[in-house]
Amino acid sequence: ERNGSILMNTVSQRTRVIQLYRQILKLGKNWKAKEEANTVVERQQILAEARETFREHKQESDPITIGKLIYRAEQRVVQAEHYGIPHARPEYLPPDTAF
Amino acid sequence: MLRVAVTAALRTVAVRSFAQMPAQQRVFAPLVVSAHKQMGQIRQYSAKAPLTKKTLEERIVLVLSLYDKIDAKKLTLDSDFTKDLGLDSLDHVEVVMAIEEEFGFEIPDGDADRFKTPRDIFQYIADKEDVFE
Repeated sequence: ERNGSILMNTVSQRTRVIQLYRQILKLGKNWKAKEEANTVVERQQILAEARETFREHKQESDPITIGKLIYRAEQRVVQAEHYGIPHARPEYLPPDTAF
Repeated sequence: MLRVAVTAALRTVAVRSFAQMPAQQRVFAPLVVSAHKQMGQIRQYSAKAPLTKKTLEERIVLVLSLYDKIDAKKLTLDSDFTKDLGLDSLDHVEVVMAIEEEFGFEIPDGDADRFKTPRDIFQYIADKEDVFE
């Protein structure tokens, strides 16, 4: 499962990237922050980060690298929805740290 | 909002005139207050603005020209998103989302992939929203 997105072929990888981009933009536009006052700022952060990061890897051609990036995006989406935080969850924390 | 403002204004006027009146007349003062109740409930129906081919075209061109990577001068109904306007697939996603927001319905990925020019979008929305004239 974990490597599912890494093993996709290039055509469906392209489709998946576009789906994810759309999904993240929608997430950003409908985002509600834990503290209501932060909603506007966090929305802008999500949209800005998505636009910047997807574009940064626009020229990527290696399927393995693309697969890893897709996995990273999926992971971030799940984390954002689950924890209600738009930022990357620091990896150096033990997995059960309350965040 | 207008209704709220008018009611509030009427209420302050009524209260103020009530206070300034001599004691004998105050008995009748509540009649003034009840004036705003006669305005009754205003029902506001909301519906999408009716679309014609002309307004549809104008709205599509407006939405597209507001997207920051599209040069409004180069934009025509037949300019190709990739070749003429220089958009990539990520821009395409954003453009389609802007169109969805403008017209208030979702466009599935499979349909959005087929949009090559603004005219494709025009035709698609005209079909979906039953715009014939």
